[in-house]
Amino acid sequence: MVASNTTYRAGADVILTELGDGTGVLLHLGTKFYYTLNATGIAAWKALGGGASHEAIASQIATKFQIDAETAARDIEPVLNEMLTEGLIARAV
Amino acid sequence: MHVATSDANAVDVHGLRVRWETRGLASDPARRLFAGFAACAETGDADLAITIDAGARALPDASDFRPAFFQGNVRGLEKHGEFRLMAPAAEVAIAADGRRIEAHVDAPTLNERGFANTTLVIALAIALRQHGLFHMHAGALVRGDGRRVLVMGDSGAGKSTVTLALLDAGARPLGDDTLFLAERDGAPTLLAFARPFHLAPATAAAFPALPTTSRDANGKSEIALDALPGRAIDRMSAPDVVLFPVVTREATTRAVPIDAAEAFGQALRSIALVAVDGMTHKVEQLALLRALLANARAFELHLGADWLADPAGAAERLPWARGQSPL
Repeated sequence: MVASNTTYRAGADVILTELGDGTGVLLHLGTKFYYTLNATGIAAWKALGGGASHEAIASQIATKFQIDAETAARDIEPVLNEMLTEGLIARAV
Repeated sequence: MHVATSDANAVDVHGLRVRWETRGLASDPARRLFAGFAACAETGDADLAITIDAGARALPDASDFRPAFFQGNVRGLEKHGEFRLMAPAAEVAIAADGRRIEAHVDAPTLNERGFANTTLVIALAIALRQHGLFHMHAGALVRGDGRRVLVMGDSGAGKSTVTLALLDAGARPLGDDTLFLAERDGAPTLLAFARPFHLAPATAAAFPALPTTSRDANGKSEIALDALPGRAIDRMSAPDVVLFPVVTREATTRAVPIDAAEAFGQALRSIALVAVDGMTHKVEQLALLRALLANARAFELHLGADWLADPAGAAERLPWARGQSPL
């Protein structure tokens, strides 16, 4: 589960391909699985940058989609949880 | 580094000079593989030099190579970008710079057709990445109205069946199973790897008018390209339509639109080498694939009983197969 005050980073083995309609696909070179991302997922992945907390990612989502921070944080939590479970992101050490 | 060879056979593979030498075998697997390419001068340096040797000499030990992939009965190993293929009665080394393929085979036990159609193709796919040609397990054709169709899917998904049905409806083939994706004049381009079509028995039976020449080791019938309806093409620009055939139990065939992300994800299965450890040019290949599919409409083609019972007839019943309506 994602936790507060924890920084997450994109997996080194993961490549994002962003598509023209604002969606995209993550390819995990380690597990060989691919994952489709909608616009929110893309925004979350990009917000990770070199490392970002749940709160920071939610803040960027809120700004991008013009929603309140609490809604953004609530909406992004399951996305980040799934990314964590699938090994697409990791807790930065 | 260019590899100079002499007294060998040579062809032009989309601008690359590929030369090979086969020693100690009754037939020439490489000649079979490259039969669809134009010969080029045998003198001068090669971009890719292939040697197939049935003699006693073996390749250097590969015990310190790490496992990279399995493809059928071919095991791939990798170390510092060099690949080694371990196949029945054959061991193949592919240099990291893609300029040399060295195969050692056991002539008495070698299935030469299987070696040419599988092991050598894999070796070639790995080597040609270094030259900007990326293998795709896909078929493609151009319809009578000029629309370009790409057919993608796993083995047995129905690519050949769909391709043949569309050919019967007036399209021209680029290929049914093996293509190469490259950038040409700044645009993604599909390049032919001219090989006979290989049809499962049920598919061959559905096209009785097509003359099959022989059967391969898997029981599939071979149909020479020049025996197919429609004159083959050498290259094709980005497709208008991408089809992902799926064999179903439904009565009627239907095309189900899929979104760009799902289409790209499914397309990744047709360029499986991109996910292999040790492969280079992954980002470049993914970018090319994205560009290739950028303006295409994508569909899962759910092949129903009507298609499998009569593929050619089913294609005729689909108005878009003859370009009568936009797809």
